[in-house]
Amino acid sequence: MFVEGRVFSMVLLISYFLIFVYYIQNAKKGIVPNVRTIPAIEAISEAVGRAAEMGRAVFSAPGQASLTGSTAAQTLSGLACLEYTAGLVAEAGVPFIGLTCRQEIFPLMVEKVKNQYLLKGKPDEYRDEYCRYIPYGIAYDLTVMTIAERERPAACIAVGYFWHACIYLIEAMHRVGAMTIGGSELLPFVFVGGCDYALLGDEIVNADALLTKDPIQLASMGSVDIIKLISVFLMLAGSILLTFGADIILNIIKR
Amino acid sequence: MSEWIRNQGPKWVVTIISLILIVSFYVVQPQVDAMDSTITKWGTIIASWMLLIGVASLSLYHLNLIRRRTPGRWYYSAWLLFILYFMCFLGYLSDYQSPGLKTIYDSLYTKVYAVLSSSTYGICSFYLTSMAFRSFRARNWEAAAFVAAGLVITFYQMPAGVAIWSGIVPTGEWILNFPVKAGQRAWIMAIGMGTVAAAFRRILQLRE
Repeated sequence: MFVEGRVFSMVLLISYFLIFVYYIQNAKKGIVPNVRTIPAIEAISEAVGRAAEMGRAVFSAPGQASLTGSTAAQTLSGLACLEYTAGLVAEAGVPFIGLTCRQEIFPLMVEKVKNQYLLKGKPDEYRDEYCRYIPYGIAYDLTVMTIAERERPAACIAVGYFWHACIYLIEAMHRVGAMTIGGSELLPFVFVGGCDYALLGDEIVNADALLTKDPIQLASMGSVDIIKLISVFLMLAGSILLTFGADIILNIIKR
Repeated sequence: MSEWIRNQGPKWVVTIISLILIVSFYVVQPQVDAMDSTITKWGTIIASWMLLIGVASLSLYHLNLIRRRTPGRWYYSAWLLFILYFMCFLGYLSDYQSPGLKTIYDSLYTKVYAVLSSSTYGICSFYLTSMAFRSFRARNWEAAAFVAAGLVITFYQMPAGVAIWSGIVPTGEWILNFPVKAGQRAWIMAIGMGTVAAAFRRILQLRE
């Protein structure tokens, strides 16, 4: 009935889901795990404030990946960061530059940015050029460099899945003096080495929970820590047992 | 009813389709496999139609710049739209009308676009160098270890690195195979677990 080699994975997924639901139920009762402050998330408002003082634009990009595949969670996190940034920019009254290279992301981006301007009571201040689409490829790489040189934004928030374009983006923005905040699964060292603030590991995919500060969403992050502990235990126990010639855990995982 | 469809409909579509795809990954059942196959095909069809949205939004944005005669930019927009529609038209004609046009299309792609892409890709090296210069600062012990490992790997990648020190190859390979690989695996696992939590939040409609 079950696919060969995926039974253990299914059991682990069901366990993860049960732990997740347990934390959500606790959050509804008011028991929320303590999530530490992530400097990169707090720095977004600082970056927008800096842009407002300098009277320059704020740039945001939700990554280069689409909404399909394993990178979808990072793209959705990038969109959440873009939406949050757009809300702060609408309050601050500076120009906003949102850029995507995926045609399915573009209408979502437009909708989110427009909604933020509406929520802040400034629907008239939204401009069509705030949300831009450029096809994926070298055109995107050149566009980010052009935007940096021509429009000289004071802040750059780039969270999502980026390929090599992140190198052009981070360096071009740094050249014009922009405060850069970002994170990506691929090429994380570019963000760690080049950005003023970087999101690491699962901070990227949980950015939407960290931004909203919703207790139920924050509680879901507690389940991530529990499943990490289980994974570390399995790795350690499996390594030690395998060193002594016992492959019991390896055989269980292979089922 | 229409308000429910607008507000709740998309969330329930995500929940139901996610559950079908998850079940089809773990369970061997012909009906579930058929549903999975149909959903995947529909996803491909919808993604193909989204290409039109991309072309439309690009056209509208640049037509706006041309209409307003934005200084320093409107002629670039005109050129972009010309090339966009010219290549689309040429590609369509070359497949169905004339093999000679296909040669022109292929030449424009391989001898202009591909060459320009490669040249632009070369800028990466300069940007990476400036980034490394900024970030490789030994302010504390961790940063010093980072700088030392970076130097070893840089010399390991150079063909002349072996001439400088014969032990660079085993050292570089050890750094890549052990600490770097361990860190990469931890990173990928953390993101994978966070991705699953993010998926659960959407399946349970805790987040739009």
